[in-house]
Formats: sequence, structure tokens, C-alpha cells
Amino acid sequence: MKLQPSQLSWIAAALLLLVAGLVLGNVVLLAGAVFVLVTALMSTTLRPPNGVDVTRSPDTVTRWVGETLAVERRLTARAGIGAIFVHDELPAEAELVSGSNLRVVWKWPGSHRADISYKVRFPRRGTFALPQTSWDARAPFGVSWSATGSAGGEIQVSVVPRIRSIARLNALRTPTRSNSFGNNRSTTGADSDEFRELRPYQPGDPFNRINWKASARGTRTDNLPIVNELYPEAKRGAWIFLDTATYMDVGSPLSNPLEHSVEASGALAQYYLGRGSTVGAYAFNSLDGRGGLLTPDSGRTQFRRLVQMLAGLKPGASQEDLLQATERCKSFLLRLQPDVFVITRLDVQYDRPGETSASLERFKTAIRRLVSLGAAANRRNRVCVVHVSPPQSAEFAPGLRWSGWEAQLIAAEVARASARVIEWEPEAEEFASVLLRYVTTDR
Amino acid sequence: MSRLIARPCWPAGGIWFVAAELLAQCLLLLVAAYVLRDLDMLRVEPVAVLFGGLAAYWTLRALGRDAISFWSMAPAVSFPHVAAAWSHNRIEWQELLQLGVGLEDERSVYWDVTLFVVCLALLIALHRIIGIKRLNRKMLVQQVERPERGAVVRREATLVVGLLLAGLLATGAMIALAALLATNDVQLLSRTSLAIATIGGGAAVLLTVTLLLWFRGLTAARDEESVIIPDAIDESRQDAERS
Repeated sequence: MKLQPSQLSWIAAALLLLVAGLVLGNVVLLAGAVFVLVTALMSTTLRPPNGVDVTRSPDTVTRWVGETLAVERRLTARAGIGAIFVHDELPAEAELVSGSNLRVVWKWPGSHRADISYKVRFPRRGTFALPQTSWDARAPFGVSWSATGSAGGEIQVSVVPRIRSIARLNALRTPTRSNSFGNNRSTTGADSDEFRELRPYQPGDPFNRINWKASARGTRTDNLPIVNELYPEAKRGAWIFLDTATYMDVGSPLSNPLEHSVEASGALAQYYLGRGSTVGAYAFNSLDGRGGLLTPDSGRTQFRRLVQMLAGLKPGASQEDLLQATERCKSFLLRLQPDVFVITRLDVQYDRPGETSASLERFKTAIRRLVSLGAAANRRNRVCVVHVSPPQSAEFAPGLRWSGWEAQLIAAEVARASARVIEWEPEAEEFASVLLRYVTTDR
Repeated sequence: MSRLIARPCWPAGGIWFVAAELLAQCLLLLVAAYVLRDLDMLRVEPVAVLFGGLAAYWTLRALGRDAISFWSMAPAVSFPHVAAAWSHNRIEWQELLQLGVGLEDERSVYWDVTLFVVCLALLIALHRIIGIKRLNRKMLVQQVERPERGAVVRREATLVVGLLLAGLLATGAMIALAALLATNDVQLLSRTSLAIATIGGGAAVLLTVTLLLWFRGLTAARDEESVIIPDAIDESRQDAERS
């Protein structure tokens, strides 16, 4: 509450009239003093609304990018008369769809209740906080008292990216699996019931794996029994390296390489998890500098975890490169032997034409390292680099028109380092189409 | 409130506010001019006073000096009433100090009281019109929806009318009470000191009560500022933590 000076001015005027009226014995001045004092007294008696309480909808909500969130509040004021300004501070990223986050409610004497609602949309993924509802109550006549406060609790809004459906890939999955059956299998994990080959017995093999018929043929000189080798239960996993440096965040809020990378990561995870594979991910160069690690797992829960991780990604300074990220995730990569996907912009690895870029060299080293991590299992990891083209409009970043041929040069270099390069132009095609092409040609 | 409040500028309050403000000013200036003319203190036509006063007022308003324009107009339009009231002094200071030149005690005290109180009522109304305009402008800048703005403005205006009516009634009642108490006097309010004592005493009591309420309000305000009103969610969360 605070004192308004104009009210005191009226009281001072009344005091002046009163003193003058008494000193002069003047009824006119005294009557004037009475009138001003009556109005001042009445306006002073009226208190601004107080005892204001605000209850809101649940304190944690999750929404897709672009989906609207209806915020509903119930405001209760217990005493006082006047206008109550109710205001919800919205994050800069939020768009008001309908209603208003600033409302004015008039309160007469007695308890008053008002339901206030508005709809807000978050065009960008992330975690946002709608702080407490602040209110500012004013007494009538604008000259007496005002009261302010906040109530209602904070709402945490988790805005997760929309992952487009990969229905076409799902349709393709069955024939692909049958054509390259062995390639999809993991080298580790529990055994399935599916027969792979016959091999000599080794200590530790369970007896129920012994193929008695084959052993009875006596083809082996060492007289060791023959056992059935089975495929492991889990299918080959995938690991996603997601570059979230600031150079990925060029373009409009909804259409930039970072957002497209998030979409690509989601589609990849959807594809691999949908076929029962294990998926892990690591986002490097994020805002907090620590990187976002998603430990490998499978199933729907893993997809939800990935989506939550993607929702919270914010671009940061380029402090970590792929080589460092590889070393950080080495233990997972050694254990999982996955298909590795690196989602980044290749053109940023290129400094000047004709010069050897140190960052490109490190990038190629990282690719070779990723490939070689499969050597422990006598195989080479498949590494795929997804180059997400930046928007071509000069409006967003002058000079980006050069990024096309730069990317092609680097793609050739990276391909020589045993990685497959996918150049994706999000403005031209969906990632599902790119993935479809990759799946059909890779097997 | 996070949004900025724009600086007042003419005629941001809308045509109705401007009309109401102009009407109050015209009435104030015309009544003042009439009283001055009645006292033979005005040598120009009242219309000239009207236009001169309006021009001065709106020039200051255009310069963005709302408070100065109002508080300079208030004494200007009150002066003729004070001059007219001077002849009703029961303590003859004007004769003692030889200040009563040109004033005659032939004016009706009731008429002068009425004109002065009406002048004060118009001044308070004008002040509130300016205040409501400012409130409306603030809501406009903050993009408060039109129905809500209209509702607040209408209710504020209703309360102002009620306030002025209540003030007029209370003042009339006090004068009537003073007149009743001084029944021995034939010319009630013009000759008796009992009327002065009654109205003066009443005004003093009003002033005391007003100031007391001010200070009580100030103390309550300090106490309320430290109170945080918990919401239902917080309360339930606290209960859960306790259990």
C-alpha cells in the first residue's frame, strides 16, 4: 500500500478552509471545509480490495510445440472496494492465443470471486515457467490506497518437440528386416530363440543348447559336442550425436538447423526404438556447457526420455567438438556397438578455401574413432553424418549461400573417413524421406 | 505490472472524458465569472473569462502538466467565492484591517454557501475525471479489453457521483443542524456564533477522524505488505510435506 499525494492535498485544502473559517467566523468557508472533509473521509474509509487469493491449474504441464495451453485462474478477494489488476507474466517465447494475461476485475463490498482464463501457445520447445500471478488492487477515487501482491503458484510448462510420424518407414520395416537380417542384430545382449549357426561347445554353454543330432554325427576330431548358436535378443542399437552449438540456431525460431536436428533425432529414435533397438544420445555444445546425455535404453519410456531431453536443449557456445563428445560417450559406444548418427552442420567445419581446417581434421579424427570403436567386436561401426542445411535466405545469415558447396567439399572429406554423409535440406523434404532413402540403400 | 504506462496525451481518454472535463471546466469558470461580476470585480464579459480559462488550462494540459493545470485552476476559480464570502465574516477582521472595501454584507449567505460548495464539488469531479482518464489510459496501454475498461470506468464514475451526492447531503445536513441549534436567532446563519461553532466543530471532528483513518491505514498498510497470501496449491503441498 502506498499514500497518494493528491488525497493529502484535498485534506490540506480542507484544513486551510477550516482554519480560515474559524479565524474569520465565516460560515461559507466552514461549509466548504465540511464538504471537502466529508468527501475525503469517505474516500479514505474505502479500502482497496485485499485478501486476494489466486488458484491456478496444475503446476506442471507438458505440451507439444505449437499446442495451446489453457491457463485457468480463480481469483478471490475477501474485502475492500475497487479495481484489481491481475497479471500473469508470460515468457518471451509464449504467444497469447485468446483471452488476456492482464485482466481488471471490479470488486464491490463482500467476498468476490472471478474466473479468469486465457490460452497461450509456445512455438518453441523448452521448459518455461509461468510465475505467480501478480495483482494490484486500487481503491476507488484513485487517491486513497493501493495494494499489491502475488499468489497462485508457479506453472512449469515443458514444451516438447513434435516428432513427425514415420509411417512409411514402418511399412518398409518388415521387408528390410528380412533382407538384412543379420545386420540388424546386436553383438551383445541376451539370446533370443532364433537360430544363427552351429559351433563347438565352449565351457559355460548351457546343456540345453547342445544339438544332440549334430553331435552324434561325430564330425569333430576333438569329440566336443556341437551347440546351437542363437541370435542375441536385442537388435542393433543407435547412438545419436546432436550438435547444439549457436551456429545451429540460425533462421527463424521455428525453422532453423537446431529445430530440424531435434526433429531428425526424434525420427531416428522413433525408427530404432520402434524395431526394438536400444537408443542413446548425446547433445554437445548446449547452453549449460555440460551436454545432454541420454543413457542407452529401449522402449517407449526411452522415447519419452529422449523427447524430454530434446525439449530442454538450448544452443550454447561451441566449446566441445565431436572428438571430445566421442571420448565422453566411449564406454556406451563400446558396449552398445551402435549405428552412430552425427547431426550437425558440415559447412561450419570449413574455414577458408584451400586451407586445412583444424576443426575439420578433428571432425574426421572423431569419425575414424567412432568407426574404430566397433573393432572390439571385430566389426566396424556404421557412422552416418547428417548435414542439416541452414536456411538459404540471405535474410537470416548473409553468406550462407556459400554453405552448399562448402558442405559438399567437407562431405567428400568425411566420406573418405569412412562415414556416410546425408545432406538434408529441411526446406525441400522431410527427414522421414531422408531416413527412408538411407534405410533402403544402406542394407 | 510489467507493461509500460504511456505518458498522458490529449485526447487519449476518449471523447466522453474530454466532454465531461470540458463541461466541468465551463461550469466552474462561468460560476466564478458570475460571482465576480456580481461583486463588480469583472470588467470583461464572462464568456471571455471562460475562453481565457479554458485556453490556459488546455495549454498546460497539452504541455503534459496535468497536476499543474488542475491545481492552478482550483484557486483561480475558488477566489471569487472566497471574495464573496468575505462579507460574511462574523469576526470583523476586515473592518479591523480595513479590508472590506468594496464588499457589502447584503449577499445571501445561503446562496454563497451553495455556490462555493458547488464549486468545490465541480473541482472534485474534475479531479476525478482526470484520474479516471489516467486509469483508462493505463488500461488502454496495457491492452485491457474494452468491456473490462468500460466496467471499471463506469463504476468509478458511479462512485464519484455517489461521493459528491453524499458530500452535498452531509454538508446540507450540517448546515441545517447548525440552523436548528441556533433557533433563537432570527437570521440564523448570518448573525449567530452558534452556527459557526457547530459547523466548525463538526468540521474539526471530521478532520480528526479523517487523519486518524489515514494513520490507521498507513499502519495497516505496513503490516499487510509483509503478509504473503498462500495459495491452495502451496497449502496442500505444505500439508503433504508435513504428513
